[in-house]
Amino acid sequence: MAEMLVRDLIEEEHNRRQARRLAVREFRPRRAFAGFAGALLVTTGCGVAAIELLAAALGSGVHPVPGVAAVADALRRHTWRDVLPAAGAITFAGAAFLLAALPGRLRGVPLAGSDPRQAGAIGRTALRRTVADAALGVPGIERARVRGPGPFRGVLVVRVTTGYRNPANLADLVRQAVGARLDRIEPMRRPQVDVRLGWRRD
Amino acid sequence: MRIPIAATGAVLLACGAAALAAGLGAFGAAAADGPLLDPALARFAGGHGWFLPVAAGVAEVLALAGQLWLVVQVRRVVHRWWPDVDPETRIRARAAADDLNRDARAMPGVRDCGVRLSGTADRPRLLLRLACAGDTLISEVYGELGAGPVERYREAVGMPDLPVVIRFRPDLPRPPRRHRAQPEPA
Repeated sequence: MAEMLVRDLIEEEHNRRQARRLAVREFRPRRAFAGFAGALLVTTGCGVAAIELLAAALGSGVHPVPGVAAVADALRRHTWRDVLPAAGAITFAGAAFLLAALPGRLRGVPLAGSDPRQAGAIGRTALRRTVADAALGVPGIERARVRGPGPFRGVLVVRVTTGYRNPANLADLVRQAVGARLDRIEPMRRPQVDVRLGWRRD
Repeated sequence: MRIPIAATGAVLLACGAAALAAGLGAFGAAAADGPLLDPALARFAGGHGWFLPVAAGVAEVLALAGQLWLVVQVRRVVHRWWPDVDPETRIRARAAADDLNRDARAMPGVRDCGVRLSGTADRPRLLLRLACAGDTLISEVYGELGAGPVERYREAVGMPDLPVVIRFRPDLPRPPRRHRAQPEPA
């Protein structure tokens, strides 16, 4: 009986991990533009270089690719000092490609689940709006703005304003309402909720 | 696809940084004022017969790798909209999608549903987009969808391990913008 329970627990944890992996793989940014740009750059650059080098290796005195003669002429005339802006641009492009290769933030907030074949998410903006909607449902709250969850700490900052002069336990009520709404969504990593309440002071 | 992007970026960064260093005189003033295409390179290539064919071969291999990379990406984009499955599976998937759509719309809070089979034959995906009310019990809809309708879809198309990706879109209005208080007319 105990062995069965332990096996079930291990299997469930394994399934959860697989589901998390699928969600991360599916909702990670694809970097399609950087991929296309890099592939086009490598294909055209190396293709032109290969044709020119082959022509030179075969002893041909002409440049088969149109425009390369002018480029080769410019390369002979200019010094390294002349091409500092171009070198800077190439360095910048390289840094941009390297930055694009970083994993990046997931597109949406993944939902908790234990099916390894299923991944779900709710958009970040949609989560913020639904949390703000929950906060506005608390009597006395007139305005609600939500920020986050951030990429590092994952804190959901809920700024609410009431027209009351005595806020009493409104912050707790808002926290409860937001918690209840998050319970209805069940994100994979439940964000911490930081409620900041403003009230009338005149 | 991040590794080729990183490799391209690393090569560009290294070349750009080396060119910057050369231009700023890090390798000596003579190098900074020397031409980009040094005659010494032509002399070296002339003196070593193997150099040009080897360089051409390396460039050719890299160009082929670039083409392969391009084809993989185009294929992925195409199969996102046009799944790489046989016509019979496509017909069954269409009928199963209608059932799944109907079942999903019957769930509490769900207002609209979009179903699309996508991906390649070795990596198929079922993409679901659900528009729902703001206070929908999303966790329950998510669990029930996976347990019932999606499982029936998998059986119908004959793909028991078909991964499904579900995106929820709560239907909530944009929060109103804060307007500055206008002075009341006297």
